[in-house]
Amino acid sequence: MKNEDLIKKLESARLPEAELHTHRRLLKTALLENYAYASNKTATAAKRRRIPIMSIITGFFRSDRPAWQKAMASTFAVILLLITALAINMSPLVRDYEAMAMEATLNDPEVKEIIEYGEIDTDTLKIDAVFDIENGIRYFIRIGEGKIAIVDLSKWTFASQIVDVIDIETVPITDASKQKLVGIASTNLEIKAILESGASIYMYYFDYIPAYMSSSSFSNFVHETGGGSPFCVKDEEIISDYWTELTARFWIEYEGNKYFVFIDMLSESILSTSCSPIDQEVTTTIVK
Amino acid sequence: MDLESEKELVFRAKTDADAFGLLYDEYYPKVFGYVLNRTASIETAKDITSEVFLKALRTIKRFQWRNISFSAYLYRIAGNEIKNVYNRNKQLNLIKQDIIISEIINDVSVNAEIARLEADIQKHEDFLLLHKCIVKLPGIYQEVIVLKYFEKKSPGEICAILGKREGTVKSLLHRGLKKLKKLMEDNATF
Repeated sequence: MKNEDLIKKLESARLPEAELHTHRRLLKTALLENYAYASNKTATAAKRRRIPIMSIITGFFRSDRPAWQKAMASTFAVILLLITALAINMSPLVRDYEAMAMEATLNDPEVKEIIEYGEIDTDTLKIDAVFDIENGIRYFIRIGEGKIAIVDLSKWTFASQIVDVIDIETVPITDASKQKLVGIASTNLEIKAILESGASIYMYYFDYIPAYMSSSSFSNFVHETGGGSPFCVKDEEIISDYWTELTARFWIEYEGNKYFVFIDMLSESILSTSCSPIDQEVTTTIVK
Repeated sequence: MDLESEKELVFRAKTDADAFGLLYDEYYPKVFGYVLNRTASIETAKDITSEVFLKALRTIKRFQWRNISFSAYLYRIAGNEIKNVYNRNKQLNLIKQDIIISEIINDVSVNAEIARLEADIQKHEDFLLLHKCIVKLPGIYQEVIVLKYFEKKSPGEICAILGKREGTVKSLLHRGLKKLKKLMEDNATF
């Protein structure tokens, strides 16, 4: 068969336009009736998540309880955290999960194809991020320079499956994005004063998640779960048009000090700032 | 709809249900048609189209305008949903359980319409035979071939939908056609 014949076949074989009129009408009605609920679901979920734990902790420490009770609670919490951290680090399952996720990736036909055509060394595949999701763990596995495989692992069945393989493209960060970042950072008076005194930002980092996923339970990983760090792309680049900003960071050098600002792009608020002398590695948190 | 009016409409749709409705009216046929050409199943096209618009509604507030048509975003979601259903053997259970669209999926009048359209599709033998070979290709080649030849998208539009550079799209198309040709030659029906 000639190429031209194949193209002719393809061009002529298209299905005529078909439409499910009833479905179209019913779906529109359902979407519009639930517009407020559905479109606000993600934003309100992020806000809701913060309230219970923080209010319990702050409520406890602001209460009239005796000082010894507060001290005991703090000590107990620290011990519990240490034990948990040790248990997680020592657990052989952590490594097994990663191996299972990696195996699922390498066995996926689409990934095999990418590796074959891209001549990618399988040893270079690496886990970029780990997130807690409902009933499991989600791994983002970097394949070469341009792809990410998303692998879900069930906590109950230990079954792993590839959810998606996403392309990563890099395009310049817009000035508007940077301006927005500076605007949010300026809500901190100290940072505002530093910026107004002429200090310039010398490095931006933006962290992203795929926008189409930001509405699902996937968004639950944000910050609180501590399930892993999201993507980080340096300086003048972001990951594709379809990723949404999750967090952002930047550095300012001013009068011998290096200021670091960490911003939550979902709630458009500062997560933390810190400051350290330029020639020292140790940072001191000044606002949280 | 030109890009400027679409930008304005998308911006309004972040807070205005009617504006979202206009976007829906504009793109429902395109999304449905694309999914149908990819899956050759009215039932699946209906489920995936529902999921695409539900996801679009849930993410509209976060959508950042980057001078690319909103339809490219919808096609992208659709492509990922198709991948989920076919490549991963994952059923659309989540959609069917979704409170917003579960009633529509089980609607009797919709089911009658599906049966009629499914019967219509069976008459297009050329398409079905071609589709049988296309679905044997890896997902990315399916996407690029369907967008180019069935959806008649320009190279620029395909780049926007797939989030890939023009050179990559051209080589994908070239390799995809080569593979498809081989599949068809191996298939006695052609």
